[in-house]
Amino acid sequence: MLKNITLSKSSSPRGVVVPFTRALGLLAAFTPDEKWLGNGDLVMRTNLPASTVSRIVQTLVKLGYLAHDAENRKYCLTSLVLTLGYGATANSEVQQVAYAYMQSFAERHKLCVNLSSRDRLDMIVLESYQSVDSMLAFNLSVGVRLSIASSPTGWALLAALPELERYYLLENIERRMSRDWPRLRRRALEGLSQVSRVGFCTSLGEWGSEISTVAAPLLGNNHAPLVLTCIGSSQMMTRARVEREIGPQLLAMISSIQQRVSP
Amino acid sequence: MIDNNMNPGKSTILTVQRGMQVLRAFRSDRAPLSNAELVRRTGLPKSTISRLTTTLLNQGFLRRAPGGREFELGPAPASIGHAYIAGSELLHIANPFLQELADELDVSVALSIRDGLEMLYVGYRTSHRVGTLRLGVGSLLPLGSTSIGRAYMWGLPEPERQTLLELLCCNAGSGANSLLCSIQASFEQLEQTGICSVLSGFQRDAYGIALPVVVGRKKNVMSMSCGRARIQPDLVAESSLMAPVLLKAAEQFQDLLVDFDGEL
Repeated sequence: MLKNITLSKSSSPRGVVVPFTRALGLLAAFTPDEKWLGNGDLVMRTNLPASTVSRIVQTLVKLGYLAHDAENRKYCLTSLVLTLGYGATANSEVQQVAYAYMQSFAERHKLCVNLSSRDRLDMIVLESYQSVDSMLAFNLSVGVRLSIASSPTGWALLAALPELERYYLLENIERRMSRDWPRLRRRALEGLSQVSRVGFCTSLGEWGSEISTVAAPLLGNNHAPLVLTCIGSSQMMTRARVEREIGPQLLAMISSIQQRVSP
Repeated sequence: MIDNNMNPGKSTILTVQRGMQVLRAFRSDRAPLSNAELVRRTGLPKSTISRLTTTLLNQGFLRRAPGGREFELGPAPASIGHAYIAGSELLHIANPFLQELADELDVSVALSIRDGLEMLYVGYRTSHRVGTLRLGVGSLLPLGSTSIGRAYMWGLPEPERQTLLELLCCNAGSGANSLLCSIQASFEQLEQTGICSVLSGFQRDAYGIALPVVVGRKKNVMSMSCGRARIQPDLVAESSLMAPVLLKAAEQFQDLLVDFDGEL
């Protein structure tokens, strides 16, 4: 999954520290699917000039956050990036509690279950558990980003937000994806109203896909809004099964998690 | 900032380093922090902190905590950490091993490296029956006062160990003598039994037992530790129970990674 982080000089907002912005953007350009990136890859992923990339990359190597493979002229993240807040975000209580439930839910229903949170206009997968019996060929692993506008995961999050925040995000999405938005908007609003009707939203083999998805928000006082998403093959996730079994049980799992997490 | 040559200037390095200091100041707890608290934790001027938090907000590394003027960590750090973990050959090999050990001993097991005067958990697995310790991957623990830090120092060549001890004493100020005494006691335990155990090194009612491991072709020194929270633990009994298992595990772990030649 490609991420486009635009950090060109003209778009730097007021009051930010430009070299630091770029250093953060470069670290964020590394994704789970590709460990080693060269200067050229980084230029593409960040839209920064080559000379800037090279200067900031060397800064990050000097500070120990990137390792350099001189032979292949590529860079990779080092364990030091774990000191930049990973410990707090990755080990939060709700995430730990949720993961245990996700595991047994995924095994029981032969599905993949993801826990996601919002980062700007994307949903990021924080935890993922896939049953070996799920018969899914794809890899929706931790760290993957999905557009908030076009996935049930995103709709479930939007549905759970206070009205003002939801409108603000929808406006931003509209500005960002003006061409596809009229078509997507209708679908997203359907998802939102499904959540308010039954508590979860679904996409069952839509867009010619063989994959079906059910998502519902997980809210709590001590954490940002999260979403639990079940993904399975459309053959196994029939409408009847989703509406009578998987959807309601997803909601039951969410309320168990909420009860287990300290208030 | 005007330095257009390919080499980063000192000022760029310093700027980025300061920014990272702010992120690190959040430690591994999720408590939101104000600009004032960040000033206190980093020692940086208020105006610098305020520009750095603005930058971090802007990049999704921080967000405003509900209702207040404080900041909490956003989702971006987790995303970068996951990218590292997914690509780490070391952890691919180490994690199943750590899990097995955690389940066998019914404890949490951590693999740490040193970062400055702190130990960083790079691998962490916990027995399914342990729910009490909340530290995990990415946690930073003090080098001088924990079993993992002391075991790590014990694993180092003598000159490096001395350098670190001197640094620790410098930082400890008036507490230097008592710190050094308790570190020496742990070194003696390591000498005699191969492991060291420290009570409440970091968390109340928790203890840690650790030993050094030397990993791969680059002979990187790391620390392997296990811990459990228990009310009034009998540390002597626990240590003698765990020592043989841990010593054997450390040996197996080093064998498992003997050809590892990658980056940490």
